[in-house]
Amino acid sequence: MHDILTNGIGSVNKAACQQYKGLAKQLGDYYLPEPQAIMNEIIQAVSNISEEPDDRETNNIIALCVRLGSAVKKSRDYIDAKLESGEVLPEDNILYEEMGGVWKLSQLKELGLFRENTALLQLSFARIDDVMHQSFVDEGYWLDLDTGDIFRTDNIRPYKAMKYIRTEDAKFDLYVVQELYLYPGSLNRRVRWEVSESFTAEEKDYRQALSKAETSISAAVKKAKNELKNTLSRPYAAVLIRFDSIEYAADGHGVMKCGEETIALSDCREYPDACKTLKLIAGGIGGGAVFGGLFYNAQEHRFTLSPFSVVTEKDIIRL
Amino acid sequence: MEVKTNPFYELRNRLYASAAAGCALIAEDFRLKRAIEAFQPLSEANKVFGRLYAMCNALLTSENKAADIIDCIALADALAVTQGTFADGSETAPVPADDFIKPVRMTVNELESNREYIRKLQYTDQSYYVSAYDSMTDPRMIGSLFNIAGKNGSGVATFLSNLLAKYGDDIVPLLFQSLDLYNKNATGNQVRIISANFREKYNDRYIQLAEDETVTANIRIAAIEAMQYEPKNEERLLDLYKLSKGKIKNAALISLVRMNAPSAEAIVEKALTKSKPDYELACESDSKAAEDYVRKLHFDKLYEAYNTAGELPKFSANFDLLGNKKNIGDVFEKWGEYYSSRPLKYDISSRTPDYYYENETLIENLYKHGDKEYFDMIRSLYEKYPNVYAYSAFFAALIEAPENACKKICKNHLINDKSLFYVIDKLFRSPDGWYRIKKVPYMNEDNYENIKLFRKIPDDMIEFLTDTSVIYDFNELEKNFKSHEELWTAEENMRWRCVALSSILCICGDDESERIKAAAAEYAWAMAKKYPISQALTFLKEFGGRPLDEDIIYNYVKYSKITMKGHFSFSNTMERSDVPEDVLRKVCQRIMNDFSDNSDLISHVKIVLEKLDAKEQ
Repeated sequence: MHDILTNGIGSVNKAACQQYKGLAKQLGDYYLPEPQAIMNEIIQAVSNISEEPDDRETNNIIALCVRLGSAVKKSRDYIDAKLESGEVLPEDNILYEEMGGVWKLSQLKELGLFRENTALLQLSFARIDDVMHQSFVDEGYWLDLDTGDIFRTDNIRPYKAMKYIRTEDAKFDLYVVQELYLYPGSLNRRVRWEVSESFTAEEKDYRQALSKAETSISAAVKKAKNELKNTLSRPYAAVLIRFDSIEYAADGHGVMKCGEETIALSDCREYPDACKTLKLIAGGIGGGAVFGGLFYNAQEHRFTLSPFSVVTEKDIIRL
Repeated sequence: MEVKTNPFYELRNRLYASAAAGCALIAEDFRLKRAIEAFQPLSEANKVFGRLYAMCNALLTSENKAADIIDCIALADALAVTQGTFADGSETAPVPADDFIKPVRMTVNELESNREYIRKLQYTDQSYYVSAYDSMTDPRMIGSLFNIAGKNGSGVATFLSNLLAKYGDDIVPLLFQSLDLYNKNATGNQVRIISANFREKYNDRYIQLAEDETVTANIRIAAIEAMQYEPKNEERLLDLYKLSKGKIKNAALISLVRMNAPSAEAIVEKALTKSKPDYELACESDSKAAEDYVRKLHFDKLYEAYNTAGELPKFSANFDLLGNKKNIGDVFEKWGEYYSSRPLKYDISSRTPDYYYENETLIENLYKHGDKEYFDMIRSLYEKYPNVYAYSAFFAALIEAPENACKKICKNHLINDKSLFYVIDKLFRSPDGWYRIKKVPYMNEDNYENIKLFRKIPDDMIEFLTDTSVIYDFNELEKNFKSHEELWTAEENMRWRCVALSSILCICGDDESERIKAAAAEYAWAMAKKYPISQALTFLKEFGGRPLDEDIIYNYVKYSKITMKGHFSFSNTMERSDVPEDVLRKVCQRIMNDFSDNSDLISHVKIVLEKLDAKEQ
């Protein structure tokens, strides 16, 4: 990273890439999964760089270097603080996992990171091939019907251990979780549970979900800004936003309207055909709420929404 | 903040550019310096901007530029996020609602299975998969439909036919939407299947596609073919014929001929007087010129037939010429007369009915036109020459009066059964619950046509298929028949009933299966006693209702050894059959006594006995 930033991207060659692969492997050996993943992304981006790279390609590599640099710096500060205080037990901090820690549910409970009797409705589900982390992730987003918080479940299946780990699938029932354990984080926290009861979701549950949606795009974007400004944040903020209509521009891209506000719709890697699917039903849904990811586009300096599902009074339409 | 002139975004861009070029050069990077200077006024308005300004200034003289530029970029990125906008000012319009699209609740596994089922259709026929059809209204499946709809192959053809049967008009707009209008490899098959099912109903759309010169040729040709169903299209087709070239011109002419347009008559007449007459036009046309031409051709052939000793070479292809002509019945009569004057022959070399091509032409008329005149023609021919025209007569009877079609046509099992089996084999059941008959055993992009018949398998057909009067004792077969061909035909008639019953059980609805199984089981028991083929035993194992007894098993062994019909493995068959162990032992003992000189059979019997002994232990 230091080399790339000092000498520039032009200095990276095949020999350098091999060296970086060795470093990435060492990060894995020391069980530093997040820095290793970022390192792998840098190596991939550098290997794929074209003969005459444009700003997007070079900026992507620089952004990854910055992310890695920030991760290293924050991790160093975290470890230094731990050494100084002598407190070795994990605490409510995302760095614990990024530095290779594996949370036990009992640890989360001890730290008070749990809720009781939480009613959850799944808003979307996708199977994601996380090449950088060498694993498949069965990712579900859930809405807490009481508080309106949006949580995330991740069933991680490393490539090497795939045949030993059961895959998960989409869920349509209402789940009442006895003890819901929350991983450290802010927006869209990862959750897990062991015991729950399921009930057939009814129209009152969908109406309840709708009542928890943001009533304006600006409110949702404000939440997203707060989250995405952090260097180590996820690439998007998952939000539920009410809409009045979804219309389409001449070039085919969708625009979601909420009162006077508008936002462009775009696809993302996790839901590559969602916009096409939404276009097929947009004419038939008169209002509801779109659940999706708010992404910040650094080239265009603006936010777009990638839809994952549509919540109506009668159902949740998966895209 | 106006993005283009915004000093903040310019500073951020310069920071990225410097990092990309390498921090070692920052000291000489005058563009970065300029951007920092231009940012200074903004930095005074905002504390965080001020911090960024200070960090960038420090970067210029820093000892550790690589580390410091990371901090500068990280802060700039965070600020960029907070500055981000979201409004989209594009001119937009709503999309119309599509009544067909109705989301279906599916897990990811179900969605992937359904998509995979549809993807594979282009490579192979696949058995009916309820989930894939039921899920077709879901918007996530539409992409799969669009990918497959224009592909060739019997799997795709069957799928589209079933979809149309299930959803009717509702799915037609989507099929039109799936047309890849400007792809030169597009087939236009969607237009063909729509027109095969709906004829002139979507004429406006056919015209739109046919007359648009920017649309790819194959799609235009399919649309031109579809225009044949509406007589008002004559002028347009004539224009297309006059103004186009090559395949499009030809397609326009064929459509004109098929609709019996007066404007095409002169063209047909001219085409038939050439040294190499146009065969396709002669087949398609119902004009006087075409009629006269084919009548002469056939009468010449008949003359040759009457004056030829021995077997006349097959005249198959030319029976196409008699199609699409309402006044050509006399030629069929002449052929009927000719065939009836010759000794009756049992063609044991093939499953296709006797006088196949003659009858196929008559049947083709029913698919294409369905006019009363064509039904009358078949009826009249059958009355005069029942042995020759039984095949087409049964087909027509199945459409007009299925409740007694089999009884009406099957007067002699040895002569008629083959035709009935052939027709019954083409039955299928579409998702809307109707039994239909395909034009060809395997639908494809040239043959989507099918005719709707009935909602329940007629009792008459079940009675025909389970008629035990056709069953002969295999020990006495040779006594009952004069010739080897008759004997073989009788055996095939017994066997094909089992095959046909199996097929019907595969396609029938749940509400009928018990009735058909009960009838099939009775037939199978009768077969097992006198002519015990393995298909009958398999039937009995599945739904015979009681285990096989000793005499039936013994009969089966004796039949297999005496008739040497195909591969026979006693041990495998016994394992498959539902035979109680004590019965099996008795049978084995009898076989060892009666077939002691058959070492192959004895060795199989010993294997079975060993397995039984091992079980006991």
